[in-house]
Amino acid sequence: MTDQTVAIDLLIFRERGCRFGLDAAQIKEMLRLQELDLQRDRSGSIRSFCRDGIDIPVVEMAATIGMEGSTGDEYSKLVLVDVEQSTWGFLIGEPEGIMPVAAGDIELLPALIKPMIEGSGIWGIVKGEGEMVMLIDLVEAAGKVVTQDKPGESARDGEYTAH
Amino acid sequence: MDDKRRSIEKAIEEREGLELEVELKEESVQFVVVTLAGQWYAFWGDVVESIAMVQTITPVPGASDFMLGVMYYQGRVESVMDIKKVLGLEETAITRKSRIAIASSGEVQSGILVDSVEDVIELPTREIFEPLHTMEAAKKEYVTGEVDFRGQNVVILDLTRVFERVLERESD
Repeated sequence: MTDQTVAIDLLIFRERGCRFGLDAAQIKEMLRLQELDLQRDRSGSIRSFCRDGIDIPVVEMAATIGMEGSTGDEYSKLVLVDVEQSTWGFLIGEPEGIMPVAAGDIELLPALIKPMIEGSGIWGIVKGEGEMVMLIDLVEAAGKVVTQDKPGESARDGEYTAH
Repeated sequence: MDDKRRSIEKAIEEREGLELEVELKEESVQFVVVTLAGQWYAFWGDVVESIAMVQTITPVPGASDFMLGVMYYQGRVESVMDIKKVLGLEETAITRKSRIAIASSGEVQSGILVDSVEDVIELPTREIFEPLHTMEAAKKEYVTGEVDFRGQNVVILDLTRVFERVLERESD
């Protein structure tokens, strides 16, 4: 029997043909890219943005979870998420809207796939309008970035700090 | 002479009766014979839960290249694996004949993409042979025997072993 009582609101967006759902409760703020003072590294990738004199690290959500062929041009929004004491910005594609989902309708990842993407932030799957939606936890995804790379470093060539 | 003949005939009857009994008691095993890259392979029948038509497979970012993605099947999300990549076989396109064998072993269940399902056969265990030693290494570790199918030797692939190796590889 599915649990129809507990529900989460998912922000639905698309990245390179895949649909993703982000728990709206994780979103601190969502900003339009055009309005931001973006800092790029030598290769042109967005690494941070400056707000009120403070640099906020920015990462591409798609690249974080291992999707290939990312270019900054496909992004339209920056989602701000609190990760422990810091705020992180995640570049995402154009949001399609908010979809409420009952907890009982969420499927966990199949046993063979789970260990392959451990720590990537993808934690479940839900069927939305005939198409599968990958549920993404950006706090967990940020944890992976911290262990691999520190955004902001190449933009500033200095000490990394998140605010 | 008659006595001798009668005793021989009796002995033959008894032997035939025993052979018949052995045949009746002999265990038989079911196999699902599939085609992969133009060759027949057999899966142990007790591992294959069902056979599904190929549906929309949604890729999962970050998953291994042999993992095609996930699909909805009978109300649940199933992973779909391209076993040809695991075995080092040449790639083939999905056609109308392609199917997904839903295999289950212990806690693990997954769809296995095959080029076609040829037959479901039942054979006595004595018709299962040792695999050839001259097999390619990539394939060899998943082969547990051979059977005769339509006059050809067909290797038996152990999907339980495939699942175990995938999980071992990912936990390394």
